[in-house]
Amino acid sequence: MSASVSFRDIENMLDICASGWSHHISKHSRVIKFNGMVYRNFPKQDNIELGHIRSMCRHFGILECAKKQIPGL
Amino acid sequence: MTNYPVMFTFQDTVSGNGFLSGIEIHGRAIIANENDGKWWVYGVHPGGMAHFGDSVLEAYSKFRESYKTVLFDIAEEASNFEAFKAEVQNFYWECGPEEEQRWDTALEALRSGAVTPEAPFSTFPRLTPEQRACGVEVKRLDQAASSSFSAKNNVADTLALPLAA
Repeated sequence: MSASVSFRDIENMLDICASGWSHHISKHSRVIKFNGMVYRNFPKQDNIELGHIRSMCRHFGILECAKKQIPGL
Repeated sequence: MTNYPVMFTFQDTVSGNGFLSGIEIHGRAIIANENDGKWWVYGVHPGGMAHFGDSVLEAYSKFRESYKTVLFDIAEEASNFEAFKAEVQNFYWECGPEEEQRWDTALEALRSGAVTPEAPFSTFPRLTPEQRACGVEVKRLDQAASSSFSAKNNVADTLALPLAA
């Protein structure tokens, strides 16, 4: 069983670590945008595995900040 | 935790709004067994995507499937071929500030012998990064002359481990 985090908690983290972020739902994924960059295959479900969050945070260069908001990341 | 740098090739055909496109990429990713016990594939080129599985090959298979759905999403959002091509190229080249460095560090660990590949990595073909340079090609197929199509253009999916240059 993979550790997972609710999207609500991820939204809270992004508000702190990626001010100005936005997202929309595509047919297959959640598309998250920040600082001119796009993360294209974030899962659409409510509980997200840590690896997906880690990947997105590395992509946006906010991993260190995110680790402070999401324990275990 | 060992980070394995891998190189892969995917070839796809995608229908969009008024066009048919052929996309071929020579990509880079990092595969790692994370603390959750799962194998994760983290895209470097293309960045902005990841997937996991109970085994290396399951994670790779899901990563491959996800990549294709990203192309489908881009096709759905693009109003024409030019917009599709530009967005696929952005998707391919855009990468986090430290991701290429992570891949290079993992490559150096392989080159130095600090990492001895375990199965199934030990069974992967070995190529130098120069033999499989990063790249993406997005072609419009619906306006190409049928005489330009050939079975010789078909490219199978490949997954390889880098050798020293």
